Amino acid sequence: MSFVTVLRVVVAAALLIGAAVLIWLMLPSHTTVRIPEGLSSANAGMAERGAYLVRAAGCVSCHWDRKNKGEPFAGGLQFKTDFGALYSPNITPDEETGIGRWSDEDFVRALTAGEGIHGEQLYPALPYTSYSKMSIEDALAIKAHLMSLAPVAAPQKANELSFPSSWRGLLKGWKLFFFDGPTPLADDATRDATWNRGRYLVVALGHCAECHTARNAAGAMVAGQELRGNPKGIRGWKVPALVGPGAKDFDSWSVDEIAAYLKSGVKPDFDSAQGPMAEVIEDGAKYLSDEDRRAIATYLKSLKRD
Amino acid sequence: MRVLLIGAAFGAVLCAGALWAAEAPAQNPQELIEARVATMKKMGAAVKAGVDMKAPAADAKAKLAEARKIAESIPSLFPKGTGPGDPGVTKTRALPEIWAKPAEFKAAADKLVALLKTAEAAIDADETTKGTALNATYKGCKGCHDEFRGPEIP
Repeated sequence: MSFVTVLRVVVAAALLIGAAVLIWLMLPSHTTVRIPEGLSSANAGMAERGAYLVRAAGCVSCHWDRKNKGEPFAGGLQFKTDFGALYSPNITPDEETGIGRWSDEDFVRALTAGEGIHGEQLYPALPYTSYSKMSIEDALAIKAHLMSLAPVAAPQKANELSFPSSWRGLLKGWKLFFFDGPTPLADDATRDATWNRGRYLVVALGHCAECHTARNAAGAMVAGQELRGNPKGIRGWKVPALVGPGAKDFDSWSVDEIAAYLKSGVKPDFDSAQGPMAEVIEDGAKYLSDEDRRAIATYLKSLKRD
Repeated sequence: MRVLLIGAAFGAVLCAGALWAAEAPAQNPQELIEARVATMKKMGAAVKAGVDMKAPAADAKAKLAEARKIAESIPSLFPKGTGPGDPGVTKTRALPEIWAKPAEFKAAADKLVALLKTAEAAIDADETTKGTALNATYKGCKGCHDEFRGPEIP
């Protein structure tokens, strides 16, 4: 074979692979979600259970444009990211603009796999990187609660992203590197129930790491840096480290002080919570049970301090 | 030659300006801000000790009174020229609203003073009244911070 022929074959192969990758990125994806027999968001008691879980998962802080007099859960809040502006969607049961027509599978898939009802890739501003560790039952209870709300007609605001991040297909590739898919947390048998509950609340529902972790150039949490603080901050507010050598300040907080802070927003030095963390407390943590707040504190204090 | 003269004149004006600017404030604004932060921390510590349900009544009252005196001085801790963007100010979380809405700022400080007075008076009351009054003091801190204190990273 002459050099030209080899070159032709190589170029053709590269083009074919490139085309295949492009097609793969463009194809919708529907990750399989297996809802156990008999489990449904329509079951009795699910909506009540979900009302509590919605607090634990901090849904309303982001799905509410309160500054512009929006309705709770109707979305529209702007997120300024390094890639442009995103707007949160309406998660009230409105059939046209909300999640009114979503099936249980659709909802679980969005929350734990980051895929929309048409198989489109969702931006990780929805913290599915954490919610993927949630149990299917809890996800369905959250849906049950949302479906019990009054529907609000609030059309999706168009995102203001520049190419290539404006192309959702690219997220399929992003997920290969930075997302494991639905992986519900299993209890660690060597730990007690409080610790396991605390870990579930921190890692899966509370998605604490989403803010308290530095992000890389691709906008993903830096692996191994979870809860070690986000030097860039969030909306100008410092996001302190909760573990690691940078957590000197937090280390001085006792389990009781952490639990009290999550209830009242009062720091041990009697300063007040402000910014995004004040929202976490006001919209969510203050509605949790004392046991759950203690579980969160217990788990956080059990993490490596070095 | 003319260029030199104009340059010298400019230089002289600049020097005079710098001298005048250096003389104007009694204290370096940034030092004043650091002192203000320390005073606020002191007040926080006093409130914390004062609202401790287990503290002896006399101690709690003394701490709440100490906090109240500091709270009364809050408007005076924020003179003009100690806000963000003012000359000599390198770091402050104080928001421009403090100087843009002085009446609201004073009202927020007054509210804290009132809450601390109520708490002080409730030390000898029954447990429920006392608990409610002591818990409410925190609203005084928060009320002011939410409106008049900004993020750490501007």
